[in-house]
Formats: sequence, structure tokens, C-alpha cells
Amino acid sequence: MLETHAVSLIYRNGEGVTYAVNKVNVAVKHGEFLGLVGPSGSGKSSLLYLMSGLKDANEGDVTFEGNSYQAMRNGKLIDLRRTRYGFIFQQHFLINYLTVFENIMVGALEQSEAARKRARALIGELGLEARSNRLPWQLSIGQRQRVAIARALINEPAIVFADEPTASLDQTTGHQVVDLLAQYRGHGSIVFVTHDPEMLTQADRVIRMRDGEIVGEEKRNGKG
Amino acid sequence: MLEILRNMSRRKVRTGLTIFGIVVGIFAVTVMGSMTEYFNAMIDNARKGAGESIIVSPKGGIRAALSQADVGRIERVPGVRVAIPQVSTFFESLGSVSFGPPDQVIGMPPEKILDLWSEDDLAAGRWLQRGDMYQMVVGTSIAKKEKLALGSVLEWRDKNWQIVGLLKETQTAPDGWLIAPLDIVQKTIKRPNLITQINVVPEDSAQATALAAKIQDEVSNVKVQTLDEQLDAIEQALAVFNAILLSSAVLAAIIGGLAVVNTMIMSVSERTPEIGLKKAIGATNGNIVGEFLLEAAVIGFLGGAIGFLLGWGMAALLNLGASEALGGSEIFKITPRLALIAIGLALGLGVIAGLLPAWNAARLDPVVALREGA
Repeated sequence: MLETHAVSLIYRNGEGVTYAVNKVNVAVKHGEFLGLVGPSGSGKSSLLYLMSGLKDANEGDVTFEGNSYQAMRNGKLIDLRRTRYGFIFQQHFLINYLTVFENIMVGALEQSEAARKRARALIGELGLEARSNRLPWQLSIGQRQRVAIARALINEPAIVFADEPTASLDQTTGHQVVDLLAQYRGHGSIVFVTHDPEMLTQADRVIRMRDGEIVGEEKRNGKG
Repeated sequence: MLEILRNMSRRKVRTGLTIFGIVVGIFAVTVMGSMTEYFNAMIDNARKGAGESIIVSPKGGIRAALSQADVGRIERVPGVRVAIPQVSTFFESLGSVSFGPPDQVIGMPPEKILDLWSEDDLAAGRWLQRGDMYQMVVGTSIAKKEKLALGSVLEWRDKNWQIVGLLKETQTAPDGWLIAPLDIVQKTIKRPNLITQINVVPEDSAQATALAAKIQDEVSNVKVQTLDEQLDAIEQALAVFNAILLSSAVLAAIIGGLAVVNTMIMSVSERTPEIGLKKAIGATNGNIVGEFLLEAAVIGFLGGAIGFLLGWGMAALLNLGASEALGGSEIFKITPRLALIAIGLALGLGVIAGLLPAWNAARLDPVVALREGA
């Protein structure tokens, strides 16, 4: 469904060149939970940015359902992110003057009744019914991250890109977040970046990265 | 829209101060503008009522005057239907406070008044007629100021004058006029033969300009202008005054606009992670620019609307004061055009002030913006 083809992300510092991602080939299958793990600076987040189109590759290309990012004009790539992808980051990035419900609707493609119904359903599934009219500062960190998950899932994306979503959470809350995300596996794929292998017990496949390169791959749950 | 208002209400003091900056500027634009609107209306009204009469005034210094012989010479110029001599003198001493044309006592021969005016110009009473002596027809503002009604008696220059007619409001100089028989006014001011102006009515009003030139050629020591030419000259002088008045007010509004720039830059800086998130999940540069421009426009509009309403209130208050002190002159005129200019200016300033910060917000790299918030 999504593939990277010898994709690289290069940072230039004066005369020097640093490969944040170095000619990486990865394929994400439909409905797959793919874990990207590695120490800080290994290039796992950079690879997620390339896969999701948040960064342009300096070398190589990315394709989604056979369509090349390079061939897409910028507007089309933005459109792809809006319509087919969902995003969760280490910080929840909730808008602090909007309620839980409104924050979820920020991600909605349109402010339709169908979207509002879906937002209410997600609020129920994520156990936030009693807090749908609260503002972000009135929630716990775990609850805020659950709202961020709901915002990412509002359009039922083909792929959810999660960049260290558990890094600011304790182990218990972190696992709850992973469990919630893992439930989405049947509807779409998940690309989950973390430095903590403990968070990937539910992944179908785990790719290990170091210095911008893939240094290992492990299939789990009999899938992938 | 609701989202924008809620975001603005988060920083009440800052938003309030920014709006206040615009309010002050637009308040100044409204008050100053209402004064220029008053002058514009005065000129427009005068032009409407001007017809095609020709004004002949003496050439030379302030002491120069016309004579009955000049009236005769002008009446002999072919094309002149009638020449009406007039003497004008200030109703009060020059030291009194006045905005716009001063109140004046105008002396005219009663038998020629209807060549220049019509019965329609009267709100009540009658025009002066042959045989009248200490009778007057008065304009609306002087009537209000001196509390004059039909039959009232006014004391001026130690004489009692009876009010026999009230003019309709013209919103021009005649509102402050007291019209009395020429010979009686000349006698009262102790200048028996003084004529300060001659009003010429042409036989063919379409030929007024040509006739003015002919009179200028044939009668010496006079200055001849059509009323329109006179109004043009006044309008030109007022244009400079208006420009100075309005540019100082617009400058105040622009300074208010700078406050919007500052606020929007701070807003973009504070909301960098929010911008990063919105861009990551698919907001276009246009969406981001639109959002910030709308916020700046809302600030501009609110500032403009409040500033205009306050300016309107101030103009009404000043008019009330002026009405009491100056006898009914309304020197601040609020017009729909002024409302449109004041609020439009505020809105435009808001949008222009928001352009650069909005564009900067739109250009943010989503990943960099998100990292700043992490």
C-alpha cells in the first residue's frame, strides 16, 4: 500500500552532510501494525516524516497505492495527508481554547453531521463521554493523548502515523494508548515510532533503525 | 468564526488593547470626517441652491465698496435681468465663536427679493415687502440661537426688529442670515450708501458664465464671479483643510493598525504548534492565511465599529453643545459614506496588518512548527 524506494533525508551542515535516513526501503501493508524502533537520533521519526509526506525526500521516492509523492504536486500531497492519513505526535497538540469534541472535529474533513456522529462514537469508544465539553487543560495527559487519537481517526484514515505517542506517558497509560491504536488495525495500517520496544508487543512487524538505516526486522503475531 | 472569537477572548487584555488602538484611530477619523462631511454638505447644498446667479463684489481691499451707480451700470449690460444690491454686516462682533459662516444681517431692497428667492424658501410668515422698515426674515440657526419665532422682536443695534418670516433650513450660510430692508440696514450701521455685493440675475441662466465675463469687461473696479465659481474657490480652500484634518486622523488609524501587526505576530508565535498540527493534518497555506487574516479582519472590524459608534456619539454630543453655544449649528455631520469609510478603513487596516504575520504562519514547515511546540 505504501512503499519507500531507497528514500533518503539529508541534512547539510556547512561542508558536511548527515543522512537522517539513508536509502531506506520499507513497505507498509493494508491493516498492518508496523513498529519503528531505535535509539534517539536513529532516524525513525525522520523516516515517518518521509513516509507521511511531511518531509520531502532528498533521494528516492515514496509511493502510496502506486502514486509517487514526487509526481504529486504539493497540493495533492496535502490532500492525501488530509483525506487518507491520520497523525499522532508525542505532544497531543490539542488546541487549548477548543473542547474535546471540537478538537476532534479539527481533524474532520468536513463539519458534517456524519463527522459529528463519528466524533461522538470515538468519544464513547475512548471513554471520554463525560469529558467531551472539557477543555484540554481539564484532562489528564493520558486523556489528552486519547483525544489526539480520536482526532487522528475521525476520517477513518488508511494509515495512522504515530510519532512517539507514548513518550510522555507512564508505562500503564502508554500501553492503554497502544491498545487503543491496535484496535484500529482492522480498518487501516499503523506506523508506530517509539524508542521503547515494550510498546510494540502488539505490532505485526518491527523494524529496528540506527544511524538512518534499517538494522533489523522482526515479524510478530504471525503476520506481516 | 466562533473559533476565532474564542481564540481572541483567550487573551482579553491584549485583544482589548489592540482593538482599542483601532478604536482611537477610527474615532478620530469619524469625528474629523464628520466635520469635513459638514463642510462638503454645505458646499453641495449651496451649489444646489446656487442657480446661475452672478456675484459682483468690489475690487480692492476690505474697505472697498460698491455704489448705486455700479448697480445702474450692471443693469445696463445686455443680458442682465436684474441687479440686486446687498449690504452685509456681522450680526455679532467678530470676537464671537462660530463654526462655518458667521451670522449676518443682510440688507436687500424688499421689492427685489423675489427675484432672488421664492415663496417656497419660506418655512413660515412672509417675505419683506415695500414699506417694511424694522422687519426681518431670519434663517433657522439664528432663529434657534436667538429663540426667534414669527412675531418675535429682536433687539439689534439699539433697534427693535420684528420677525415676519422664517426661512427653511438650507444647511448653508442663509441659515445664519437676518434679512432686512437695505436702506434701513444702511441707516442702522450708519453707512447710508454702502453696498457690499450686487447679485445679478441673468435673463438666460444658461449664459451666466458668459454674462459674468461681459460684466467684468464692461464695469470697472468690480470682481465678477458666478456663484458656482465662488463655491469652487471655497471648495478648493476646504480641500486642503480637509486633507490636513483627515490625514492626521488616518495617521492615528495607521498607528492602530501597527498594534494589529504586533498582536498578530504574537498570535502566530504562540500558535506555532497549532499551525504545525493543522498543516500536518492537511491544512493548505491558503487555509492558514485565511484563518489569521480573518482574525485580523475581526479585530479591525470590531475596532472600526466601536470607534465609529463612539465617534458618532461624540459628534452628537458636540452638536448638542454647539447647538446650545452657537445657535443650532450642527458642525459634525455623520453620513453613510463616512460610516463606510471609517469601518472600511479599519477593516482594510486589519487585513493589511494581518497579511505578513499570516503569510509567515502559512510558510511554517509543519515538522519544525511541531518541534517548537514539543
